[in-house]
Amino acid sequence: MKALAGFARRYARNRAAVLGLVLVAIVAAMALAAPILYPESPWEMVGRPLLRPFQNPEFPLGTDALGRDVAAGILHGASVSLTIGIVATVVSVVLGTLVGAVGGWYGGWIDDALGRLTDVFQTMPFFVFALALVAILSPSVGTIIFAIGIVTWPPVARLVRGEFLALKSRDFVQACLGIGMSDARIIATQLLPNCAAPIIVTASIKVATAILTESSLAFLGLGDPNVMSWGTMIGQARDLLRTAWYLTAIPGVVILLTVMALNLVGEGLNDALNPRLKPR
Amino acid sequence: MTGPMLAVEGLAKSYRASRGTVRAFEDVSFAVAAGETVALVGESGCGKTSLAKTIYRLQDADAGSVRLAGTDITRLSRRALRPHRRLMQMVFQDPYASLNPRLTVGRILEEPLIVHGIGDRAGRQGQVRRALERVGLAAAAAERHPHQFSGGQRQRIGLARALMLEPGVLLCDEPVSALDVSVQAQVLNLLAGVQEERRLAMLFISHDLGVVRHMADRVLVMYLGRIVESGPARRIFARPAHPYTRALLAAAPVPDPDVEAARPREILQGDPPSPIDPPPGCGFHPRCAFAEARCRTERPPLRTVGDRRVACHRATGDDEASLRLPFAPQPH
Repeated sequence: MKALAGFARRYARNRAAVLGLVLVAIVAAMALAAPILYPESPWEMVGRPLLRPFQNPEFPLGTDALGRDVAAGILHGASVSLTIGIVATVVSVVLGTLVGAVGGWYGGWIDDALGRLTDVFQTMPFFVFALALVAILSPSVGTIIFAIGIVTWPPVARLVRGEFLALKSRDFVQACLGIGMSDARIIATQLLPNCAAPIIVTASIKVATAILTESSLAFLGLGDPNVMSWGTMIGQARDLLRTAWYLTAIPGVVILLTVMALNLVGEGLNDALNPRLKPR
Repeated sequence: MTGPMLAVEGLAKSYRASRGTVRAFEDVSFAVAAGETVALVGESGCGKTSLAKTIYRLQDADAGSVRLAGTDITRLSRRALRPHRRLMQMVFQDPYASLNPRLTVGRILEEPLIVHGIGDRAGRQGQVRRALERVGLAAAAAERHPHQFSGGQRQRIGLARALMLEPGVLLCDEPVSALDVSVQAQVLNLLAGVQEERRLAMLFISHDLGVVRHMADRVLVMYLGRIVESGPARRIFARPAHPYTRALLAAAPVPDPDVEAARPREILQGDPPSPIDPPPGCGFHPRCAFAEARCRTERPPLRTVGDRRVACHRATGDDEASLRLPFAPQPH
C-alpha cells in the first residue's frame, strides 16, 4: 500500500498527467452514461436535421444531416472507442510480450526466427496493413480489434525482448536457474514483473494509437456498420464541412482530447514508474 | 559416502568471440571434501567465475566432468539435474544484482523451497524465519525488499538463500569483493561459521589473498584458465612454488607496517596475456622473471612437487629447498 501511495504521489507531481487522467475518466464516464442518457440507438433520426449546437436544448450538440443526435453519437462513440482501444491493446501487448519474451529468453534460432517475423510485420506500413485486413475480413468490432492488435505488436515484442536480454544475465535470474526453477516460472515471476513498467507505459500510448486507428478506419467507411464511432461521424459529415463544420469539429476535438489525454497519462506513468529517470 | 562431495575432472570451457576462441579455462581438476574449504585464487579475467558457473551448471562444459556427491552432473538434462541442485548452491558476487528487486526477502528465500516442493506455506515461512536468524537478520526482514538493506545484509540474504535447500556444497564467487572492507569480516566469519557447523564442502573464489588466508584449507592458484599451483593453504602462503603465486603473494599487503615496509618488492610486469591468443609454452613466461628457453616452447604439466602440485619447469626436485627459486630476479 505504501508503494501505491508513493506511486500516486510521483504521478501527481506531473500536472499534465493528472489532467490527462481526468480527461480519460470523463471519456470513460461518457461511455458508461451512454446507454442511460441515450438508451435509443444513436443511428435513430430523432430531430430536425442540421440543428446547430445549443440551438435546441434537447440536442445540446445539434443534429446531423439526417437528424441524428450528435451528443448521443459522441457518448456511444466513446464506448466504442474505449472498447476497441483497450481490447486491441490487450491483444497487441499479449502477442508482443509472448513473442518478445520467448525470443529474448531462449535466444538462438528461436530468437532469429521470431525476429524475422517481427521484421516482416514491422516493415509493412501498419495502417495500410490494418486497412487491408479489415477490408478482407469485413468490418466489425471484432475484426477491427484483431487487425489493430495484429499490426501493432512488433514494437512491444522488441521492447520486451530487449528488457529480457538485459535481465536474463543478471545474477538474480542466474540464481533462479541455480535452484532449478523452470523457464516458465522464471519468465512469469522474475522477468515480467521487472519489465512491467515500460510495458504499462507503452500500453497506455497504444490505447491512444488504437483509438486513432479505429477512427481512421471508420472515417474511410471501414467502421463496424452497427456501432456509432467518432470516425464514422467525421466521415459522414465530411461533405458538409463548409455548411455544418461543427459535425466534423465536435468528434474531431473529442478524438484529439482523448488521444492527447492518453499520451499524457502514458508520460505520467513513465515518470511515476521510472523514478530514477526523473529525480524531480 | 566416502568420496569427495565435489570432484572436478579435466573441466574445460571456451567461448566463441569475434576474434577467435576464448579459452576460459582448461584441464581443471580438483576435489572438495565435506567440511573442507578450497580457495580458488587468480587475477580478474583468469576464468574463475566462468569455472564456478560451469560447475554450477549455469553453462555447459566443453570437456571434463563435475561429480556431485558421486553423481556425474555434467551432462544431465535440466529435469534430471533439478534434484541434484539441492546438493549444491551458490553465493553470488554482487549482492546488488543477485536479489530480485521486485520481490520481498521472504519470497526470495521461499522460492527454492517452492521449486523443490518442500513443506507447506506455514512450514516454509518458519524455515525462512530460521534462515534469516541464522545469518543474523531479524525475522521481520522477510517483509521488506532488497533495496532496504545494506550490501553486507544483502549478502547475508544471498547466503540464507543458498542455505535454504541445505546443500552439501557451497560455491562462493567472490562473496565479499563487492562489500565495504568494514563489513567483509562479518560476512566472512558468518560463512566460516556456517561452513563449519554444516560441514559444507566450500569452493571459495577470490582474488584477495588476505581473505583466502583467513578462509581456506587448500588453495588453487589459477592463471590464464589453468591451475598452476595447488596445495595446503598454510604451505603455499609460507612458501609459494610457482613464480605467479609468489608474485600474487608479494602484491598482497601485509597488515603489519614494519613487515610491509621491510618486505622485498616483486612487481608483476605487464598485463595478463589475451586468452584468445595465449602464448606458447608456459602461459606465464612473458611476465615471469625466471623464464628460460624451455618455458617459451614447452607447457609445464601440473606435477606433484613435495607437498603440492605445481605447473612450472623451474620448480623441480622433491626436496623443499629446490622449490625455492633464486630469490631476487636479475635486473633486465
